[in-house]
Amino acid sequence: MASRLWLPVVDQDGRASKPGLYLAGDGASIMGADAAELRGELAALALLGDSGVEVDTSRIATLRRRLRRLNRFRAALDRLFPVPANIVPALDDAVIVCRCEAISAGEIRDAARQLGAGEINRCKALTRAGMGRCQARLCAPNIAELMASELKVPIEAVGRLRGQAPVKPVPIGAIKRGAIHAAALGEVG
Amino acid sequence: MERLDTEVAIIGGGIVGCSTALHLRLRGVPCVLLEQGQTGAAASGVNFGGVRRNGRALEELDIAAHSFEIWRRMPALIGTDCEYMVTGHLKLARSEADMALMARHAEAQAAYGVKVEMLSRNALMARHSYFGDGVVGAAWCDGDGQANPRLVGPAFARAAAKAGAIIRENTRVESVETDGEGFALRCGDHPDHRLEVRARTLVNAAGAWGNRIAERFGEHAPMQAMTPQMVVTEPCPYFLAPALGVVGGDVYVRQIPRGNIIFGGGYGDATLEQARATVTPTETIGACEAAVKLIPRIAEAHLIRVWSGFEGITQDHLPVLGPSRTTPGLIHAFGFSGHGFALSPGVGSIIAALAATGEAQVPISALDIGRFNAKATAAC
Repeated sequence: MASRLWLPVVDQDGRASKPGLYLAGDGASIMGADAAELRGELAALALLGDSGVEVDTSRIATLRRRLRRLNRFRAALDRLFPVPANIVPALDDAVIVCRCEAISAGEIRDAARQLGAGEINRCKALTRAGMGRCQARLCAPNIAELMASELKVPIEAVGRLRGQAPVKPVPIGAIKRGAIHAAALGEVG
Repeated sequence: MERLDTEVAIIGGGIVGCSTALHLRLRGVPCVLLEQGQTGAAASGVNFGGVRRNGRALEELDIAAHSFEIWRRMPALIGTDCEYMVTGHLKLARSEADMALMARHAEAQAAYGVKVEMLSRNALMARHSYFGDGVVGAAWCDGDGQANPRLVGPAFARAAAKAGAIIRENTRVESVETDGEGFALRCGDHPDHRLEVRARTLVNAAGAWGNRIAERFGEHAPMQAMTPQMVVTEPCPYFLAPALGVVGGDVYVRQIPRGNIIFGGGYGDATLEQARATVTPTETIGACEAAVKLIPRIAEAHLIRVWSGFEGITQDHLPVLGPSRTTPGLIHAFGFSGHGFALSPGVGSIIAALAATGEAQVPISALDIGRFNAKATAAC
């Protein structure tokens, strides 16, 4: 897991484990614009094929081959530019980690160490880290790195922030029955 | 298998259980608390955060008074104020009938020492100019307040552990038995992590699951799952000091000094088998509409997060609190029906007194579990 991120599990064509759900682009994993195009086309072909529509299998093979090449390139990038997890222990306590809520590295460490937060949702509940306008899109990986470093556990042991709707802030005045598809306000994780 | 022998075993690490553990330790009583998830993370941690007596059922007012005394001394007791603030609480009327209902309740509450002032629309708007047209008046209780629910359970748990309580999280009680002298609890379904706890007294503080524990001792307390939904906005200029509710309870609003407006309304979806409640989107829309109707300027704010959680609601919407009617040494404290947050620090102190001395500090007989069993018999 070179990216040290939680990624959705999809097959090579973008099928998620839930039937009828397909992922492409940065929502599946960050691979750049060229890969996003390929994965979009592949996911569309997978969806069509699964729906009983005849699709061009040689096109699918071509797309898969091109995508495999980009996957290798991405893996090489990850090796060349690894997440600098080794610098985390030296990070000054005063460094702001959650910019929306102005929560510092010291506060995250304190939650993990003094307040007994062994898991990232607990850290959020106790400190507000990840509770601001961006809903942890920017800070979640850094909170996880700090907690893992402080608790001396692998990064996956501190868990993943539960997704909560809406994904982006929504003006309350715009929320009217019928005006917004109800699913946009549903639980996302 | 690990075995712990103790005086009091507590099932449930919500605020009630954790406060019970702390108050037992303050009396020098050994105790072990068993929590299936994390302390203070279920209904205790995801509720609205109101600490009010305004509009509260009369049967709960003495307990509320006892609990308020604890809320006030939390910094000394557990090392943090949990962002508790005495801001006052306004219960809003949207009809003259609502006003009359609240005026009668205010009179009855006065006998319990709760001072409630009735405000006409003009009097209300003179103090708080931000209300919409539909608000016809309010009941004002200046001693009420609000706090951050996420902090309270964990803070009581830490204080209890520091005072010598044994607290086990992620420890689900699989079976409970009594031999008449004491209780044996078996926890954990994994052979390597099995734990047996033996105790003279058992406290059932299992929240939404509490009636299942009671059933094991032949006691009936009909309860349903209740999953209130909440919304929080981005930080906005601070204008709303008091916490707000309405007659009927369908919407409630508060703002924290940081600026975020928190409001609740509607219900999510969950069964007790699930560990988590899910948000019902159409209910969120209803809550937004109701909040904007009360305070039009809320329409300008951005909603950033929604959540729900679950709780057990009893038939008469009052908690079950007090000794078991079938089993000596068993004490119940569950089913707070969506308004336990303000009470629970005090309930822990009451349970600890019951366990240690057999006497509660305030009258609790109206909340006895026997009330359901008596009714069940009468209905037959």
